[in-house]
This record gives sequence, C-alpha cells and structure tokens, in this order.
Amino acid sequence: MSDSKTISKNPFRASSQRQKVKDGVGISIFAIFTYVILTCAVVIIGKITLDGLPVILKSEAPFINTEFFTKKTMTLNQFYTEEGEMIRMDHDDFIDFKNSNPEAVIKDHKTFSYAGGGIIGPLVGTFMLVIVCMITALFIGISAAIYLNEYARKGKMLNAVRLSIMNLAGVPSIVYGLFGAAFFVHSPFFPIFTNTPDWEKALFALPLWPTDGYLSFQGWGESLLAGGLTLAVMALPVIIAACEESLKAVPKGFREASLALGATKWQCIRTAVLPYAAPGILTASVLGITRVAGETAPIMFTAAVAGKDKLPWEDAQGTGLYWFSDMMTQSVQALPYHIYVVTGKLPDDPALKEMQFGSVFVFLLLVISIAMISVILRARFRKNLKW
Amino acid sequence: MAKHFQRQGRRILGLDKQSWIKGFFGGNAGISIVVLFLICFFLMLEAFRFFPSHHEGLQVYRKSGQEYVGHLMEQADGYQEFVSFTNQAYFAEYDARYTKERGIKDSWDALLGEIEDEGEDLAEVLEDARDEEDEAAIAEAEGAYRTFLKDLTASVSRQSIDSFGRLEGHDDTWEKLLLAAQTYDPVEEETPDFVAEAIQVQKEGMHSFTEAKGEIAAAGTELKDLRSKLVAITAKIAEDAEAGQSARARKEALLAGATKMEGEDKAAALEEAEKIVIQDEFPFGERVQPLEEAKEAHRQAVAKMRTKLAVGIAKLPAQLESDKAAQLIAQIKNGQERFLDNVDRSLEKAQDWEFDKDVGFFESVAKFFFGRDWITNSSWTNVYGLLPLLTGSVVISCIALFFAVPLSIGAAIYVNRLATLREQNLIKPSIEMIQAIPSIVLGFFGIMVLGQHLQDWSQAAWVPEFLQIKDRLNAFNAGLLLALMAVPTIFTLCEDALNNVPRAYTEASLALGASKLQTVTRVIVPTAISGILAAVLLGLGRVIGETMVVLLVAGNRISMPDWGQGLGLMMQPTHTMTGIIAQEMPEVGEGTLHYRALFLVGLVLFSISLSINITAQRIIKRLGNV
Repeated sequence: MSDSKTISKNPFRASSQRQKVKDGVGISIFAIFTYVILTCAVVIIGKITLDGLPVILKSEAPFINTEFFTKKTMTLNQFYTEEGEMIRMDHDDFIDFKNSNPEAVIKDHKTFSYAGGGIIGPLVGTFMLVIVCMITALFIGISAAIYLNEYARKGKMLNAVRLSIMNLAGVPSIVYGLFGAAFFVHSPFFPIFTNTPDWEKALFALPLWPTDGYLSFQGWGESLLAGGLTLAVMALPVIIAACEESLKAVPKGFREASLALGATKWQCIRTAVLPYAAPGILTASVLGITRVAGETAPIMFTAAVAGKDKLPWEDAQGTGLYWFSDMMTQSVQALPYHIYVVTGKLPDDPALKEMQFGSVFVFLLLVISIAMISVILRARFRKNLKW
Repeated sequence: MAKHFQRQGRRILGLDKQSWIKGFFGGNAGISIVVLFLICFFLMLEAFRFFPSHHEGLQVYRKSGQEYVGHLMEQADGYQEFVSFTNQAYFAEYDARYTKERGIKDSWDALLGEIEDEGEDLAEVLEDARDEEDEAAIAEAEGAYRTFLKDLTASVSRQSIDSFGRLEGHDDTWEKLLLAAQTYDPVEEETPDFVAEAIQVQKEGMHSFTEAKGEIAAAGTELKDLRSKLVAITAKIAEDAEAGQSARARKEALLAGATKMEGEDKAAALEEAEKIVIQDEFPFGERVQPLEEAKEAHRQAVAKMRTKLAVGIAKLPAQLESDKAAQLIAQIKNGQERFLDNVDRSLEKAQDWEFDKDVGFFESVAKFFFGRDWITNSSWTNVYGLLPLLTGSVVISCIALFFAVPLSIGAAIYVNRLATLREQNLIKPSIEMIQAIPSIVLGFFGIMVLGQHLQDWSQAAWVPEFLQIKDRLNAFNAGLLLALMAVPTIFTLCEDALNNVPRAYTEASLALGASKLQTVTRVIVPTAISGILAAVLLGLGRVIGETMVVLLVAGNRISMPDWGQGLGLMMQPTHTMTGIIAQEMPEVGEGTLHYRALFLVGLVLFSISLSINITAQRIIKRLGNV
C-alpha cells in the first residue's frame, strides 16, 4: 500500500534502495534457477563423455576403437592368469586363445552375457527401426499437415482431428508399447510373405500362384516392422505439429498469387507452398523422429531382443520378396534396449563398465549431434527465408 | 466466375483429380483419429477381459480354502519376522559383548580343523604307537607330531584362521592360542583351559537372551505346523479343481472338433471325448471339511502364540551393548502391538471364511483398484492390486514436480523477461537439447552415478536421520531425474505463455514506476497464469508416463509406502505403473490373466494421462491464453 502512495506523489521518482536490493535478489534467484538446470545437463553429459570417450578411442592409429563399432555383441570372458593378472576377452578371442594355448591356466573364470564385442547389431537395428519409422511417419505426417493447413475448413472434422492429435501427444510411451504389442505384434491383421504359414495363428493365407508361397495374415510378431510402426505412430503428433508450423510460415500471398494465376489447388501446394516449407519440414521432422527413436519403452515388447548373433539381412531366409519380408519381420537389437539390458538386467559388475559407458556415449553422441544439427539448420533456414 | 479458370479433368468415380488429392490428404489426417481409436480399442479389449477371469480366480481362491490359509499364512509370516529379528539381535549382541571370546573359540576350532586335516596320518601313527605301548615308538611319534605342530603354527596365516578379525589387537591371546596348539595332543583331544573358560563365559553371559530367544522361537511352532498342513491340503484342492476344469475344456474342444471331422477321425475323437469323465460340480464342500475342523486348532494356536510371544519379548534383556541389537529389539517391541492387532483381524476374517459365500463381481473389481498387494510369479497365488503402483507413481511425480516446477518457471521468467539477448540465444537451445537426451541415458546416469553419490551425501552429519538413504535406488533418485525430464516441457510451454502477454501490459506497469521484478511478479505472471498452470499439468503428464528412468532407478520394490515415516518415504525404493508394465510384460504369455492385468494397468495410465491432457486444454480455453 505504501508503494501506491509514494507513486502517486511522484511517478518518476527513482526506486528506493531497498527495492533495488529486492530486485537484484529476485532476478539473481531466477538466474540461479536457470543455471542450475544447465549445470545438471552439463554434468550428466560431461560424466558420460568422460567415461565413454576412452572406450571408443585408442592410443594408436587410427585412434578409434573400430572393433567396438564393427563387432557383434557377444559374451565377455573374464579370468586371471597364473600370475594373477586379470584378462578380459570377447568370446571369439577367448575361444581362439584356448585353442592356441590349451595348457594356459585360467582362474576365476566368469562370463558376462551381452557385455563383450561391439555394438554393430544394436546400431544397425536402431538405424533400420528409424528408417521404417521415418518413411511411415513422414508420409502420413506431412500429408495430414497439408490437409490441416491447406484444405480443412473449420468444422467438426477439423476439431476432432486436432483434439486427437493433441491427445496422442500426451499418451505415455509405454502405452504405445502396449498398443504396438496388441495390434502389430499379436493381432493377425498384418500379412507376411512366407512359404510356411503359421496356420494356428493365421487368420487366412492367400496362396500366391504360381510360386508355392503364401501371403499369410498372421501378424508380424516382434519385428522390425512392428517396432518401426509403433515408433511412427508415436512420432505422428510431433511431426504433424512441426510440419504445420512450417506450412504456416509460408506467406498467404504465395498461395493467392499462384491461385490467381490459374493454378489448381494441388499445383499451388506443389509449386508455391511445399518448396518453401520443405527445409523447415525436414529439419523439424528429423528433430521429432530423433526424440522418438531414443525411446526404449515402445520397442521393448514390439521389436527389441537382448542378443542376436546375426544382422537382420544375414538371418533372413528365402529370396526376393520372401527374403525382404523375412528380414522385416526379424526381431532386432536396438541401442537403447541394449543399454537397458547391460545396465538394468545384468547384475552390476566392473567388467560391464566399458560396454555400458561405451554404448551410452555413442547413443548420446548420435542423438545429440543429430538434434543439434537440425536445430542449427532450422535456425539458418528461418533466417534465410525472409519474405 | 471461378468456373472460368477451372480446368475440367477426368472424373474417377464421380470425383475429379482435385477432390481425390484432397481426399488423400484428408484420409491421412484422419489416421490420427483412427490411431487414437485403435489405441483405446486394443487397450480396452485386453483390459476388460481381465475382470471376468479375475473374478473367477477369486471364486476358486475362496472355494478351495486358499483364502482361509492365506490369512493363516499372513499370521505365520508376521510371526516369522519376529523370530528372525530376534536371531539377528541375538547375534549382534553376542558379537558386541564377546568379540574376544568368540574370536578365541572360533580361532581354536579353525586351528584344530587345520591340525586334524594336515596331521591325520601322524596322529594315527601316534595312536597306534600308544596302543602298542612301545615306548620308543611313542617317543618318536610324539617328537614327529611336535615338529609338525611347530611347523604348522609357524606357517599358518592369521587371516585364514581368525577370518572375522575378532582377535585383532589381542596379539598375546593369539600367541597363547599358538602355544596351546603346539602342545595339542591328538589322542587326548583336550581343550585348553582358557578356551574352555571363554566358551563358558559366553554361555553364561548370553543365558537370559538365549532363553528369551528360545521362548520366541517356540511360540509359533503349532501355528507353523498347522500352516504347512493346510497349505498342502488347499493346494491339492485347487489343483484338482483346475484339472477338472481343464478336462471339461478338453472334452468340449474334442466334441467341437469332432463335428468338423469325418470318418475314422471323428470316431476316434468322440471316443476320446467319451473317456474323459467329468464331475458335474467339483465337491468343494466335501474337500474343505478339514479346514472347517482346523478352525478350532487355529484359534488355539494363535492364542498360544500370543501369550508365549509376549512372555518371550518381555524376557528380552534391556541392557544391550550392541546398538544394532538395541535397535532391532526396539523394533520388535514397537511392532508387537501392531502385529497382534493384525493377527486378531486376520483371525477374525479367517474364522468368518465360508467356502460357499459368493465373491461379488464388484468386490473383485474393487480388489484390483484398491488392493494393496501386487504379487506375481508366486507359488501360492497371484494377487493384482493397483494401489502400491499408483501411489509409487504419484510419490515420484510429486518429487519430480517439486523440483521441476520452480526451476523451470523461474528459468522461463528469467529467459523471457530478464536475460540479455545473448543469454537467451544460449539458454533456449540448450534446454531444447535437454529434451533430446533420451530417458534411458538419464536412467543410466541415475543407476551408475547419481545413486551412489546421493547415498554418500545423505550420510553427512547435517542430514536428519529420516532422510538418510539406505537403498541406492529409490523414489527420490528417480524423482530428481524425472524433474530434469519435465523441465524442458514446462519451460517451453511457460515461455510461450509469457510470450503471449501483450507488450502493453509491461509498458504500462513500467511507466507506472514498477520495477522490473515487480512487473514480472505482479503483472506478467498473473496474466499468464493459465498458460503456466497448463504447462505444469502437461509436465505432470510427461512425468507420470515416463518409463525407463523409473524402471532403472526407482528400486522396483512393490509395497505400499510406509506413511509413518513422513518425508522419509521419499527415500524408499518403490515401483510404478509404467515400471511394472515394462518389467513384467516381456515375461508373460499372451492372453493370460497376468497379461490382461498389465493391459488394465496400461489403461489406467492412459486414462490418467488423457484426463491430465484434457484438463490442461480446458484450462487454456476457459481462462483464455491472453
């Protein structure tokens, strides 16, 4: 109350010393809050980098631990020699070692599943999942955004679509996982090409004359397709929102000019809107997909397995379409799930540390660098596109 | 007029090209509605099928008498806890009081073991010599045995003999032991005086405690016997009942299958179906007769346990040297009353049990939503109760929001209104970058780094006792990490809300002489409050649905939080709805009761996040986002 009194006396009076101190304290509290958040992030990223970097670097040329990126995940063996020296070896090296030195004394032999070798399996799996997710989600997402931004008129339909997009964005990732398990994995609505349909599971199977194969509606099982599509469903709201934003940024004048020149609606969109929105659409979508691809919960029961000896295309049977179908219905390793397996499912042991920090660091590096590149690119596009 | 510019294209199914294109895009937009619908449909499809099977399971649980035995088991388990606490206290006290004496006894036993192992042959020679009463041979054998003992005592390692280090600081006693060992006679097998004395001292000193311990251990023998007897009976009943049911199912399947078959197959199937004998109604009433008869014995066993337990606990010594023992005994004494109350209650429930009382359908539904236990993979019976998981989720979300809300709102205000342009350009993308950190990485950080550090820090002197962390993985640890996950969500939405406050408001406030801070706290924040509220709600939605962090870090112990501990319950390990789905889903078979229970949990989670979302949208709409 006293404030209002003084103000009414002289509105241009400089604020009192006390008010200045109060201001200073208040503002610095807000500043401290901000920097606390940033510090947390820096500490987490820094710690993982510090412990993870040594795993993927080597002291001699080519300075990068290529084995870590090119070997498949396998069991890690740990033992002591007669002199008491501790040795850790991947399983293939261990077998070679035993064959070449059958007399070697091995004490305290311990094995750790999935903790040895490299991460080519999880890397490839994640990559393929993201490809499936990206193709589906970009296709549906961009089309939906074009409809919402270019065609739709205000009405019930538009409201319903917007409401469901908004609600989809809030659905927990694990619920997407459950949905994926019930819909893509277990329900028999999804067909595969195969020579040997699983008659018990299959709804029906179309014989594909003249080959002796079938298009069998038996569900995809835990597979690349099921996992990728679950991720795509999850990425959809993010992508639609991102695309709409980019489409909105294209000035109305472009459309009006194009329509006035006699272009059809589709010509207008194709030539006057999409080319200018495309960079924004792509960067924003990549950002959204990166975020979704980092999720573990949706692929836990739709695609991911803890260990696999072969890459998807090595394991696929048959030829042509059958080979492709078999490859896409393989279960895969995935980097985030691999991290979960080596940290959450195995009993903790110092022997696992290299694999744990190595995979986490690689994963974080991938995700952060893709995100950073798209943020930078987006900023640049925004700057360039001034109309 | 517009017609003039339009080219007429080919029509397909009465629609021209433009309409087809529009329809195509519209169809893709409609997919989001379809997806939302499908998610609801598939969740409900599995989840709602949970209730009938759950109800049926509970019926069998009651009819077979397992329900009765369940109450009995509860009592016996509670009692067993007292026994194990007493044992722990006993040994803690023993160790504290008679470290040296135990050291002497154990070391002597270990030494003897070593001597007898290594000197077996020599001892036999000596014994033979004595039997034959050949003086020269005896002297020789004794001499050999002495040298052997000397060598052995010289070479023996103290760590391996005194493995608990109880004789540390008693070097003279150790020497005494070695000396005594050197004069040990394998035939006479005498225990040296000081060792015998040490044993005697222990025995006398622990006498009263030993007695109390014995009393407590004896209190529940009858209850335990009754329990194992009845468990066997009811398990058999349940098994037989299930066998009857599966026989019926098999017969029905065979008969149904036979209608599709022809000729010999049909005859064979029919014949097989004929062989399966089905009892019309499983005779539960007859089979559970032993349980009805055991009711009286049960009452008596409980009464006996009550009195004996009270006697035993009263006998527990009050003067204790070990802090741990004192703590345990205090726990025993404190828990006594509550335990006895529980015993009375479950006794009453057990006595009320009747095999033919119907389990209401709504009772079974309520058992899921208000059940305080979630027990799966148990050899006895699976229990599905949502409450511990729901409270776990809520506790963790509260912790997360407690940290995330002030931090992110503060940061949003700072960046939006107070920071310099350069700071803004640095901070905004950085916080966006935090959002890009995958949750599994945060969980990993919690399990590998943060957990240990938090535990170490909580041991500091200034931390009150109830906040000290006993388990590395707990709700607090998970809450902190989830706070970091919620920050970008809340920050971004808050910033949007602040951005939407018209410039004129700020200008007017400043022109009236308000300071920067006053403008922010009294004009801008109140104007944007609806947006901020919505941001917090959406942050809550994000936190409650987060999976990997809680799965890795929250400790995954399914129990109701101990409200008696006040804020200390933050430091307990807990389990969450998301965590349980992620943990158990990969292990259950499709279509089982367990599988459906997990879907039901998922449906609850889905409804919670959906309602949070809708509320947030309402708030924005109602209060108007300025």
